[in-house]
Amino acid sequence: MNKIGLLFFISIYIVLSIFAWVGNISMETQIIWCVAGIMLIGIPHGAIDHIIYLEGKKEAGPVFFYSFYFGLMGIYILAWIWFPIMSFIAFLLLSAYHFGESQFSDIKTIPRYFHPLINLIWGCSILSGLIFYNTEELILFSQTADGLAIFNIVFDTGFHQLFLPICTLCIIALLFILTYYKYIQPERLLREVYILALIHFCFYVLPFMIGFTLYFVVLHSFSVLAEEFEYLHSKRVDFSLTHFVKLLLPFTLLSFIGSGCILYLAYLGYIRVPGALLVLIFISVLTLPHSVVMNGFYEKFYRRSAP
Amino acid sequence: MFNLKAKYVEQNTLTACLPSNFNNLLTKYQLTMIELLDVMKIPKDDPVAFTFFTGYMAMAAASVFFFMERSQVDKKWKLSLLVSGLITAIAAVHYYYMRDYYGATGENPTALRYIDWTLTVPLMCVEFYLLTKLAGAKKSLMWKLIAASVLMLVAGYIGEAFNPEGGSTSHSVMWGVISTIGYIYILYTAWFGEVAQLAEKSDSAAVKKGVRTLAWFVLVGWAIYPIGYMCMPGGWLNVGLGWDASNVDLFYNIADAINKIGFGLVVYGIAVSESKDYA
Repeated sequence: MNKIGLLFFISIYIVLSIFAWVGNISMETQIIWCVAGIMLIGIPHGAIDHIIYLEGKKEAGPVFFYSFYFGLMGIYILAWIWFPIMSFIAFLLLSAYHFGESQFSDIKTIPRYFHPLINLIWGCSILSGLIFYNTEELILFSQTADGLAIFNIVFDTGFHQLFLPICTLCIIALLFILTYYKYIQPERLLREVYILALIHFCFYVLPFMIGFTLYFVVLHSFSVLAEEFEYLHSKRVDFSLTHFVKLLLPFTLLSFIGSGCILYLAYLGYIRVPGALLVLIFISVLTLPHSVVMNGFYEKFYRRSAP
Repeated sequence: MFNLKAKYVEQNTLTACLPSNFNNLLTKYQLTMIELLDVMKIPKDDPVAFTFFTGYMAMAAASVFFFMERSQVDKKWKLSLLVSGLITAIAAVHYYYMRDYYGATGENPTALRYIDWTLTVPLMCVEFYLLTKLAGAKKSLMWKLIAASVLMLVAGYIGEAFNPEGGSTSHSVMWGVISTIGYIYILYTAWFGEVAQLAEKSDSAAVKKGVRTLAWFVLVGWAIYPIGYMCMPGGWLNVGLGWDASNVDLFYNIADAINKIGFGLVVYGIAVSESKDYA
């Protein structure tokens, strides 16, 4: 277990205690706390994508990067307009891959072809768990929030009843195989099984919104921020935490302003998309280029020596 | 359920043809046997009673093993094995009484369990100190770990034993949080704090690996206890998910056997690999 794993463990405990003490927490309060957590930690973890991408790259300049980044965002927006359900499924799969990639990013010894498989199955296991344990809550939410009811097809309990155990068993079996062939240490296997169990426990006992935010903020975003800091620290002379925070600030603030503007335009009626759906599209559109950048980052930062 | 008591009563008819004083003696003997058998009965459908009995036997056997093997290891490891033996011996005695208590009442032997933990868990913390002593651990580390374990257990006991009838969430949560502070301190020390750093500094690969394994025991094995606590009336999981405390003793018994005997076996493993003359 690393320090972020311990932090995740303590966070679950604190949130469980708050729930037990306060009793039922309204959906509005949950949303406020979750949005605050995602804004403060989740958004900054993708706020230096341009620096991560351009660091040490002479052949690609900022113009190329921003064209590629915003181009991908544009394509995904069009996909949302034409194929909303497919776009939503693609978003879930992309997120699953991205979460898995950040979980196993530091394992240098796994053969290259194993990485996509293990990343996707790990991510599918946790996301399927998140949906399966909270199906009722998700369906209720999608029915009350405008524009989300069409995605109920994804929350089908029968599918996840099968998909969840298959993915979970597959990932555990893969980890056992990797341990057997000495690609990972037995302790790493134990750590991964423990973290996977802890994430499933978190999603099972806590409401959907809180459970996901805890995972996303503490386990995913903190880990990525720590890796980004480590990377820049290794590349730049006298790189401190203050420098890192200063790098994070501009695009974090830009994201706040951008999301505020979009929601305001929607409120005024210039964007004719329901609020909840707009938030979903906004998050997914940010996720696509971020995942692509992070994929390249992990390639150059961690896997140079992979067999 | 065993029906030996009935068999003894059936055999009583034989005593009619024996001298009267012998008859009296036999009746006393029979009563003693019946009382003993009454205590020892283990219903087939009661895994809790089964684990109380096996837990008791396993702890006793482990104690004998650790005490006997103590003579086989180097001098510097004898104290560690003595402490391992003491942990399981103390647990064996408590399990003997807990088994009886559970058999007679069918209730959780909360007080006995906490007395056992209050004695054995600080001893487990002493093991951390003894293992890292050679790498320069100071006595203050031992006392800090003992203080944290006592805080964890006393707060846990107050939270569990003095919980008002029907369960009070605020009482359970408050004492649970205080108890967890002690747990998190031990967890942090074992994984990232002084114990982990000292183990890393140690020249011995066996000590490094052993301390890491013990840290896993603290993380996973010890986590079963707060889950049991949260299932008590008024606890987090009891209130939130409706999990009840009916199987708590089963989890506690299995966890105790794994944690205490496992903990001792890890220490034994280190002692053996570090003892040059071990044959």
